Amino acid sequence: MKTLILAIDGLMPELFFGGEAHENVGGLLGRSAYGLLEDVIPLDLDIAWQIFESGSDAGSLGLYGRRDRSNRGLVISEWQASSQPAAALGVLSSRQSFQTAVIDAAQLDLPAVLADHERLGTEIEAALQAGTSQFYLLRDHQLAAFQMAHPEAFAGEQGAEELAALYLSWDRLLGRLAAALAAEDQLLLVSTHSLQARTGAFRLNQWLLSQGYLQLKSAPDSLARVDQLDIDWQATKAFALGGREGRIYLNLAGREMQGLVAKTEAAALRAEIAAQLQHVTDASGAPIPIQVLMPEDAFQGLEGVVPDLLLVVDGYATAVDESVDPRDDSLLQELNEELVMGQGGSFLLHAANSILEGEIPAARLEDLLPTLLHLRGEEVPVQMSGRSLLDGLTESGRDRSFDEEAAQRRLRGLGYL
Amino acid sequence: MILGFDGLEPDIVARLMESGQLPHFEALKNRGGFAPVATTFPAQTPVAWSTFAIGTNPGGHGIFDFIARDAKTYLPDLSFTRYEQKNAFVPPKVVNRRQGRPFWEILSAHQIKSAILRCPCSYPSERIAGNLLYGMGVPDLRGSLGTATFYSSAEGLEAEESENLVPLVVGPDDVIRSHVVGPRNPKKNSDFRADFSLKLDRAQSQALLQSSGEPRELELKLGEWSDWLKLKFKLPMLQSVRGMVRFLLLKIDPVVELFASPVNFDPQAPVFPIGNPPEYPKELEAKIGSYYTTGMVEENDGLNHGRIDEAEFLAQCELVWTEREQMLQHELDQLKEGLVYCLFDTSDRVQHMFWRFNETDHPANLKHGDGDAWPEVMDDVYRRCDQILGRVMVQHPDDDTLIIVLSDHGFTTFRRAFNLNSWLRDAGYLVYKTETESNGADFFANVDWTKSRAYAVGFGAIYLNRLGREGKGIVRDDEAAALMAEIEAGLAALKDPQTEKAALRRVVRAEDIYSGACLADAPDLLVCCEDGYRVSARTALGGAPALIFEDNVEKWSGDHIVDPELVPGVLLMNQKFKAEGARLLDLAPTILEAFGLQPTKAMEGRSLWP
Repeated sequence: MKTLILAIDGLMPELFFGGEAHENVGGLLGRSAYGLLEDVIPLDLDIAWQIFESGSDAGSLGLYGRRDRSNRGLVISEWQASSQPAAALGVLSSRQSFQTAVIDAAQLDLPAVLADHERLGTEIEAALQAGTSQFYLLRDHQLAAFQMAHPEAFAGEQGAEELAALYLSWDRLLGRLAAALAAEDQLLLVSTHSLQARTGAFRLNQWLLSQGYLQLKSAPDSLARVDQLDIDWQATKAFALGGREGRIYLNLAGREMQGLVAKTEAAALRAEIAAQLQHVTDASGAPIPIQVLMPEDAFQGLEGVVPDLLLVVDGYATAVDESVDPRDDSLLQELNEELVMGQGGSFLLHAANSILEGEIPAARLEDLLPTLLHLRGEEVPVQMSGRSLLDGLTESGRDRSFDEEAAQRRLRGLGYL
Repeated sequence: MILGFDGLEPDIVARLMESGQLPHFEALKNRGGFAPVATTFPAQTPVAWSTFAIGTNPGGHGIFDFIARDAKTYLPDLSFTRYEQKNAFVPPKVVNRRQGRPFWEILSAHQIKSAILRCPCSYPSERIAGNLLYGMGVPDLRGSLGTATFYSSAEGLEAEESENLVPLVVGPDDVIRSHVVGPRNPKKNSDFRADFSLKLDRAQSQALLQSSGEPRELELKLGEWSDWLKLKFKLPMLQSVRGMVRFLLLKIDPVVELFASPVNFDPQAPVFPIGNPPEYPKELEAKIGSYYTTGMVEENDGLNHGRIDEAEFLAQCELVWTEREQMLQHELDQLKEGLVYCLFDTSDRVQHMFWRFNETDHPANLKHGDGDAWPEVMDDVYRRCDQILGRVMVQHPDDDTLIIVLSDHGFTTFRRAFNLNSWLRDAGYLVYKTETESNGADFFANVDWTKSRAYAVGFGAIYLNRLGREGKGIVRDDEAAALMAEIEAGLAALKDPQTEKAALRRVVRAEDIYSGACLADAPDLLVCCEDGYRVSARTALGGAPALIFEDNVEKWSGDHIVDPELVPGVLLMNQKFKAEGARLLDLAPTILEAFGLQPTKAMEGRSLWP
């Protein structure tokens, strides 16, 4: 029994799954389970891969952002993928890996990419034929790189034809590889993220400073990152790290080096900050839409140094900046619009022996590996926080509240009501 | 030439003709005739105009009410359209639920051109020779029939039903930053927005609205409806949708209040086609300027909730009358031979909202205390219709052009709301799981379908909880007749405790009034109210409040969903016709024959030509 995983970064679900010309996708959709993935938090390609490979969410892995606080310090090192629990679990250790060639995205050489797909098709077909491994894994960052370098292609401008050709080539490759699988095999196509425009950054530490939660002994001379600030730990109640999400840490006694906030006060302080974040406005007085997530709601497990609050600003269109600027106290910084990794991951799971079919709502990235194991008839390790999508399938059905809301919305404005 | 005026009441037409206030109606009557025209079971706009278009009873075209239900889930939903989606990644396709062939498709098959402007339930339609502009059924950008937005700098406000509420914060220099509420983002449970800023000029009672839309700068004058603002809403994945909106600056000092119409599809780039050929709405815009594209245009919800007042509502209605006339004129100018149909639905909406002003003791007047404020508006509606007819007659003085004036139903008062589901509950047909506070909430919350035998959805329809048809059906086919007889007997004995008189005129069975391919979708029973009663909004949505009857104190004070016999529509033609017993059903065969064509087999009516 073989499992083939095609992991394509930055796949735009409507373009690929909705593409009229994509015959192979079209054919597979009718015989597969598929859907959009729930938001992957934190929004980070490498951590997403850890989540996928470990079948566990980021909280269970203790990975709350690109920069690691496991030493409880503020001088932050980037974590090392190889030392992470996902690798230790080793479910996918017996695998044969393939990768698309690295391309110069700015100068897209379409014939080279198509030839690369051709090469991969041949190599993977041969590997599947040989059948020496259980898992076969193809990872691609080519498509994402091209799309990020050519945002105008989405508007039908320069690069549009190449973009369409790239997607079409993926459709062909998918069809070719699906045909190479036997009836008992599984095919999973997964994209942990799609792309999204990012237009600004919210200065979270600047805000904590303005509210008095963060106190400095002396102001920096110039723009400074959080670990470069001269923080007055005797008076600071909270500080933050940036990224695509914001992470607020209370200066908690017993956890932080110079903790100030007693454990008994933490819950109230956290609620207070969360409430205040709902009323943040920009310089003109317009509200800044901030979604505050409680880590205990966002994650199944809570390992390591857990942030006390997570922030998503304007549905990820605005990033969170942790720096403080002594000359500019504005909270919202406009950035040049840029296409970056966004939420909106998607998947397609094809397995002849699966009863799972059609659109699967609310699938999470960490559910995919347990689902594959389930389909392979293997035990799902207890360490995995994800759940097989086949669990409780008999009970499944459409979510009534969703239909209800849709019906209510459609009827809105019928004067008779 | 068919002029549709929604909801004209024959008694009012007759009275105003007698006193010489409808000279053109009178002239038409004298040339051809005037008759009440039997409407459909039930007397509702989408049902009636569908019968007009298709020439069958609702059993043939499948539109039985504004609201239908999903038999599997019992959920009420809009009856006109449904969305079909191949999979989660492709955009949904809108499908018209009306079945059958409208008579203009038959004309088209004979190379006769038509211009069909705003016929209900035509969204979407097949291509015909000529032009279609869709009407009732076309949603706004939020997928609703119309969700307006109320902006206010006052504190402590709550959103009313069917509106968005946006608080305003006045910034330095009297500048306000806000946004137009765009489509829903179901994934994020939030809304897409288009930002604007508003610079107040309190001294001049005006404001300047700046946005990235078209025009960049839009002047808002206190108490005046603005021109259209065309906007782009950015969606994720680099897509955008276009919409347009009108504003009304309601207050400026000290409190700032602003009203925005629902975001209409932009005829240049609608989310779904709003006409056929798809370019037609664009061409029309080039000729007459931007126009409302949603299916239900008038801001009656804003008036009903007190966000706008009667004068502001009427001012908006005037915009609608005018643009509809311009559409009609455009087609009259370019179509030399063929069929023109244009529906004016403002007549219906104004009567709904102003009926009470001609009825001193209407319950709504007791609440609002202004019952004598607008005595002429109802009659003005009819005079406005007469004016429109006059302009058409002047251009077509000869008898070569057949002119038909038609309303789909009449009108009457709406004083008491009847909670049909509450009656079904009290009588033991609708059973709740446990005694909890949420019992009786809309969408049949907490109903025990394993014990319920009947339920009501829409404005008079009762469905039995039938085994094999409903999701959790329990009533066997051989039990149905007895159960229906029992419900009929119960309802026949029902009296309004306030008057000690019957509130219902009769209850009819589907098998006695409906036939055709869609019969399986029909309700089992239809409740026909007495004059002054209407099945309540709560019942329509599957709710069951505590009381069976309640006073209607809403500004929405007139209605027509009573026994259809009480509210026939109006038919006038400039050629002699058999007026006796004329029905909406008869119009399709009559019009086909006027073009020298035979009615199709599916059509149930008879030609009205002598």
